[in-house]
Amino acid sequence: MSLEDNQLTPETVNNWDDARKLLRNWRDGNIRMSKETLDLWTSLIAPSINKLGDEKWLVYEQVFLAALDCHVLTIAADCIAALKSQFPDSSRVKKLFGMHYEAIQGYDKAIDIYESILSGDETNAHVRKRIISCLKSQNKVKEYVSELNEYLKLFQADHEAWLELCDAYLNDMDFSKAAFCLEELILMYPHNHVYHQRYADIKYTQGNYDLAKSYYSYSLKLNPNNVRSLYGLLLTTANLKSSQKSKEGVDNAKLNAWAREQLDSKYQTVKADQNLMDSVNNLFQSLSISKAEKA
Amino acid sequence: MKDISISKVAYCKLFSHLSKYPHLSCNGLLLAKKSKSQSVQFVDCIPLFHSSLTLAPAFEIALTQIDAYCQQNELEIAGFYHAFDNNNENQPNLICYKIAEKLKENCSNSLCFIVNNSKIHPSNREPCFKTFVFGEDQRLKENTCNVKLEDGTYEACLRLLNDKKFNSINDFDNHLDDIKQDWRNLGLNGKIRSVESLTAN
Repeated sequence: MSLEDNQLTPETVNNWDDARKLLRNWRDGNIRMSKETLDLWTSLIAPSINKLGDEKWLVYEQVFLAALDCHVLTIAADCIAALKSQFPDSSRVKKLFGMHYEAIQGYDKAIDIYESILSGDETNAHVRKRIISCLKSQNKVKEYVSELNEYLKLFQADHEAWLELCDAYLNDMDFSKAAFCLEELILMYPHNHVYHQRYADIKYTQGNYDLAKSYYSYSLKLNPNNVRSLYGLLLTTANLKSSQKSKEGVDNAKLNAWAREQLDSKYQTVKADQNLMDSVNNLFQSLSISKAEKA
Repeated sequence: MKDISISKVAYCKLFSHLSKYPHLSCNGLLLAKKSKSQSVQFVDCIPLFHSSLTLAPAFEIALTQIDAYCQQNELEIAGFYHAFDNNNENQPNLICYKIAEKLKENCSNSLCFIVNNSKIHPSNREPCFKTFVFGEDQRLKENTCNVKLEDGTYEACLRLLNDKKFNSINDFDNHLDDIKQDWRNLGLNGKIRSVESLTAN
């Protein structure tokens, strides 16, 4: 008997149908399980590939990418040969050839292929992203960042690209530009608590505690279970305590105490042991406002 | 030349962290027994982050908690490791410099371990990192150490890799996403030690 789709894991799969379903789940969900994909391929799928019907071309592509990810070039070569003979003129297959060159560090050849695809199809976003990733792999940081910026002028709604650019700036410790990327993302997805929290993290790093406090609070309004925001609120309120006037100081102390209570109850529900709680409590103490004032 | 020794548990946890996130930059702390001597004994490893390594809030939370943990267990934060997402990069960057500077204030013996991505696989039979020290001249410079790993460390790493046990390691990022995930990795410690007893028999 087959298991329900959502119960499938690499450990529970033992027949061909389940393996097919699991591969399909990963493909549709864009889940990177490269090693597991290859294991399913060699143990179950590959021996009777033709049972897949037309789905086999999608599976070939999926397994090819997983093989590149794990650097198993023999499997990659088998997959791409099959795809090439079926679709000799496809630009999607051409792109895979480019990625094959990337995997063996032939970046110039890869970029040649990508540019030839772009000359026929300027709006191919995937191929443009491949060129950017070639620059990233070669550690050409400046070119990589400027190319990514160019890309975002054309494809402004690509939130993954904004996140990528944000990470690039963070890596470079250019916090104001990283914050700009997140402002774009917050405009696109105003109800995403993670973007608000991430923005607050950046503002905190820059030392702008007031703004950080507002964004942490808003992210907690959207999702009260965001532990990073709760900790962030503790940190910001503790840092603000000395610089604020009496009225704001009272609010701050309240917020600080509230965040601590929330965190404390979360640790209670997961039954954290004493040793871990000692570390957590030590942190609470050092960030507590009321105790510091009494002392 | 400085003498350092690294326990099997510490090295295997560092290795597991890198294996769990092969496509990302990651970092973590190495904890040593408190001692006055020049040789440092690293006995544990706390994996920290695999995303946004330069942001302050998560780092402050992690360091404060781990510092308290060290005090309870008579350990000190005597080193940190950094592995780059890019395969060819193996020189410390700005954030490594900042962390090294902070650790130096806390522990004068502290070291910075920069992972060499081409040496991670345990079949190489050599430590997968270069060591750097934060010097008086405010620079991070390479410093060759006499690194002694506990016997059977590489075998234990291979075992973790083959049994896919490395995936069960939790770093501080995992903990902040879901506080059930314990950054001390007590369960994994047990597994690593049990490999120890198997090889001893």
